[in-house]
Amino acid sequence: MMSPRKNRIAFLIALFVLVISFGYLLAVQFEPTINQAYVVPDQNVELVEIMKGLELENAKSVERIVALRSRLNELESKAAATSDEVRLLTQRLQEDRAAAGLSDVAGEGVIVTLGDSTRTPTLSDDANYYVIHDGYLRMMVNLMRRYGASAIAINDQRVLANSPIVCAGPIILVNSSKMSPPYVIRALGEPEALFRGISQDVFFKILTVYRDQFGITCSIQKDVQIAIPASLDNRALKYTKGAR
Amino acid sequence: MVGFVTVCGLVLGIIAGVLHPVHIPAIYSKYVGLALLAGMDSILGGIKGYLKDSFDATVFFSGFLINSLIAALLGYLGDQLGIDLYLAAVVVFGSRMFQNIAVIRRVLLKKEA
Repeated sequence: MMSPRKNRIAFLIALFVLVISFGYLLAVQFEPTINQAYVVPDQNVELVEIMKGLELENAKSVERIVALRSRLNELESKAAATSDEVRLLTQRLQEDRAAAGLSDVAGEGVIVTLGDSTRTPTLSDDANYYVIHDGYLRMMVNLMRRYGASAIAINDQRVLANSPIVCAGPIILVNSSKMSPPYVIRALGEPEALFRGISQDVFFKILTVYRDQFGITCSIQKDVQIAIPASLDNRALKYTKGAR
Repeated sequence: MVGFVTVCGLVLGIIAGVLHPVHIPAIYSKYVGLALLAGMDSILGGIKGYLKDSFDATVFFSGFLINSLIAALLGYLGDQLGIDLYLAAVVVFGSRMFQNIAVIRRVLLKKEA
């Protein structure tokens, strides 16, 4: 049995040590929250500035492309008025442009909408089932091609044969353009064939299971008037030349 | 004296934690929170024991360590099983903290009087 005095000292030492470790844990536990909320590394600030600058440049370039294209159209239609031969060539050029995805198109087809779940997964759930992945978009685009789509766009981006669809953390890049859900995928083609083909495909059925179980958005509808924007990438085929 | 030691230790610990933090991944921070709760309960239990002259350093230390560990483990196990088992730790340690504080309050009030 310890004397009361010894007991008192032992208590104070023990209390001191434990309270120190308690305080340490407390500070460590608070630290990540503080870091996330207030401290942004210097490097990031710089990168964000660079990114903002590039985005602005991009937006200006898009405007310029649109303006130059309408000017080109004007000149072409003026030239077409001069002779039948030029008119024929211009017409051919426009057809080729449409086939290459370089002009706006419209017509009947289907619209598929995919979106992330509104539910928040708990710690024991696999969060992957609650979001739309880049692979889903690639699969959907492939399905549309399989059932005869002639022009496809995801949100405002035209999808050409060589358009990249890649994952970049919480967002998806289509033609290097940032996309966030909901992803609206439009396809021109025979509506009935597209609708039946896609909605009866195994992949679409899996997505509907995810929709029922995890709450993602997944729907398909036919439409008679779908507008699909032109590709902004004039030089998508810059390394392709005809073999002689 | 007890209050002085507690406050000093807490301040020292927090300063050490701010100056030399160990990075805890976000998924484990919940378990550290549970361990903190258990630790708080142990410290209050120790103060109560001291005031009632029944303090035992061994019980104090082992209680702090084992309770913290078990609380964190319980939380982890619950997540693995898909049940919110950490609630058990929260309820038990939470209510015990209140009880300990009540006892401490009473002892201190009697002393004052």
